[in-house]
Amino acid sequence: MTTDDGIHRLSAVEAGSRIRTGALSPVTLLEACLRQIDRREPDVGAWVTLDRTGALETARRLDDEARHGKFRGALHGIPVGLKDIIHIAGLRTTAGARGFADTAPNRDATAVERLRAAGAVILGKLQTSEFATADPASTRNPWRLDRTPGGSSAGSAAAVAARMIPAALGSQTVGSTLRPAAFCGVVGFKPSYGSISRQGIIPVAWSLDHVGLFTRTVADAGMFFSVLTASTLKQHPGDSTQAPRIGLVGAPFADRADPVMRDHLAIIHTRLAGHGARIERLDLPEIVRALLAAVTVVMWAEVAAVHSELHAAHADQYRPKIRAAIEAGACIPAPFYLRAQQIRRAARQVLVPLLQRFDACLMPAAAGPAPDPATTGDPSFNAPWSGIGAPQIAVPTGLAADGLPLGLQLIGAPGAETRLLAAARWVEARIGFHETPPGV
Amino acid sequence: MSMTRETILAVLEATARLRFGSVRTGELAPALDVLAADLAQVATTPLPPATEPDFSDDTEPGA
Repeated sequence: MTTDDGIHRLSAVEAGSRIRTGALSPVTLLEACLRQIDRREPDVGAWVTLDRTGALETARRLDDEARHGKFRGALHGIPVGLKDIIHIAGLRTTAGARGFADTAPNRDATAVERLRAAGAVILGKLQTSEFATADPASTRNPWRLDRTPGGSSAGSAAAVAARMIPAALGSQTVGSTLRPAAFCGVVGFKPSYGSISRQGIIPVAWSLDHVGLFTRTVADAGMFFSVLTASTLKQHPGDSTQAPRIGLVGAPFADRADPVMRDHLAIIHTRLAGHGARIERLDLPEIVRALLAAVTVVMWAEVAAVHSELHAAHADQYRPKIRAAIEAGACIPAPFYLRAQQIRRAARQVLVPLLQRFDACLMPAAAGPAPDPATTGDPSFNAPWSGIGAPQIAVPTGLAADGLPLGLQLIGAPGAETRLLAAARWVEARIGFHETPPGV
Repeated sequence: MSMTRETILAVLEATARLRFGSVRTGELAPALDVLAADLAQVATTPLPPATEPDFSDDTEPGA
């Protein structure tokens, strides 16, 4: 095979299948990914730490095991990158905060342990906004270098989009997985709150933090979800072939999207209906507006709590947006924080029965295509679902006139990942998004 | 919780001055203004009776 044989473009499922049959070795796959990193990293800047030596050693061991018919699990030989708030034993965790965090943990996060146990090759750490909040990372969008890849999981989304790796882990407190996935034209999956362990991951706001997955296909997202939760996704009766029942989210989001996104949603909705999807408009109840406010209140209060000691000693080393969030959050009276949590609970009680009526609910994953890099974009389209801990998956569904990807999100009821992923696979298959950014 | 946005903003500014000083409170004005609006929304949204706080007893603080 040549250096440009497209191995680095394989999905995780495809690569894993070839490794199982002996048609591809973990070392060959890793070397193809490293060559792609060498080609694209100078422009994109997705990585903080690239552990070439450690990854190659692991891949050689996995090669040897595969030749003897031994496979550790579903991810045997698959390279993976991790957002740099997730601890890897022996590699520094910076959390995107060059002013402070620069120590190397002595043990893996639980999610990393699970990846390794399933045979993944841990390749390194990916860029994040400072402490996974709002100050943009230096990473650039592979589709257009003058646009943001989104945040806070900027490097995770960009690396998967640029075909440097087939999959990456990120996180989402409000919109840090779905939004960058949409901006970068990849799949971004945030399972239900608590379904993937956050042990060994630097927190943003503990009652909102989720682990997120970046892949290029819905099937890959399901495979990683199974590994990380030690679950076996059951085949849903509607999996991929039976048209799903979809709730098309209207108020209060119908008018918030950019015109290009509104037009795109209308086109996709019509196409899905043409393929047989049973689509029903779903206006969300008024409490969703309060939920959006509650999510901000809870996040800022918990950010302030998480950072209280570090801020007391090093306030001037924080970047502006997170510093403002910490300090404003520290001023929130306790009764308001508790009432915000009550609103989340009340909203969950109202919204979950609505979500349960559908295989998935559909709405934009972001207001429009990726904006300029001064911000990481507006997370409000993702916020209510983070706020109630519901699973969400962003699927790339087209390109805007300027060549930037557009992504829609599907939302399910908490705990209903199997049903949601089946609907997402159906949508993915009918839309057929196969475009790639330059240089892949 | 019947507090107006203006009252909430005054509370936030007073707390910020005590904790971070007048100069820094001035720099925080845009953030405090946004936060006051969200807190006012939280304060004035009616809740069903006996709604318990959630997401606070099954989490991994500091994880």
